[in-house]
Amino acid sequence: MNDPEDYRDTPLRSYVLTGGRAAPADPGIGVDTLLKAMPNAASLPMEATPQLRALLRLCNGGVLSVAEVSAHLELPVSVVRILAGDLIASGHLHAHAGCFDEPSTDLLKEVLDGLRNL
Amino acid sequence: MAFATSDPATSDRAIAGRAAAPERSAYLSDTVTRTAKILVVGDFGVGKTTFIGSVSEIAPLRTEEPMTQASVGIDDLDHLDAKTTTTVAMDFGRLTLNPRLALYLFGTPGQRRFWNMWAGLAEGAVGVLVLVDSRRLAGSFDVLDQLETHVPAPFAVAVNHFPDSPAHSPDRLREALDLLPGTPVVDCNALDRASSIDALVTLAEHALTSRARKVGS
Repeated sequence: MNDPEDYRDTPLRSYVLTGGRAAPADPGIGVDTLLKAMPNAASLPMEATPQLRALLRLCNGGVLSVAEVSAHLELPVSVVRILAGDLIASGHLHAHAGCFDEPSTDLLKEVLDGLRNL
Repeated sequence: MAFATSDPATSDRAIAGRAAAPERSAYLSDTVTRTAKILVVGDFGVGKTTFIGSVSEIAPLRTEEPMTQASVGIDDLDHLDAKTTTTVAMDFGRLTLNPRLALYLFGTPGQRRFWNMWAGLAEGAVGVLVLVDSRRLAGSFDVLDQLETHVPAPFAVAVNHFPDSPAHSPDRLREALDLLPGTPVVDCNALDRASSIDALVTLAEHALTSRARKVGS
């Protein structure tokens, strides 16, 4: 690795944003897991962090993947996975699982057809 | 080098305000419920981000992950200021393939230990597209070697053409890269959308035939 553009430092350590946790609330949340805000969910509690609020506000606008949320909020994927897990557990977000298993033959065909039709 | 995020107050403002309000078109259609992913890997400067930008329906996005201590010391970071060496970046893009399915293209450094920084990145991928610069093939050996020995996902090689690239035949390149006979090699111009999509089609075809062979055996 030798491209300085690929490195950047931030003084705000990830564990501060996640309350010291390193493991995600839900191991099923990956970079391509889709997040969607639940309609009619209760307001976030008073003590919710700005990051949690920003994540929910972002997802209120429509469907995005964990990776996209991470880029828009300028937070690491590892942090977004944890925060999203919290919001799923509290009923504010709904997740469509990303693909962790080997893709099915049907999915491969669908991808190929989709690419050919672009 | 961007130091804008060095100030916690600035960071917090970005998190709470500007950064959280993307264009309407940044969002997926509500009908999309499934995703597929393709990894675009390769040596630095080989054109991963250009490739992703050519095919993506959104402007390529970048996410950064703090580097674990495991990578420090393995990688040659000595010439970089210690304060600037704590994250690794991944650029990515998106293609809505049909009303229900979105394909994500994740561009990462080729070395496997970097993929591991994004949980499950390689797991469940349709395949891996290896971008190669024919002017400096040696930079790709390490990446290809790891793909052949450690990664179950099928992969294809796309040779990105730069204006001063020497004209090698695909067979010469295959030989030079010491590829297994079944691995597809395609020419590609990462600046061109149609050419880049062709490379993805080649990979998807290869993924499907690899699967058929596996199911058949």
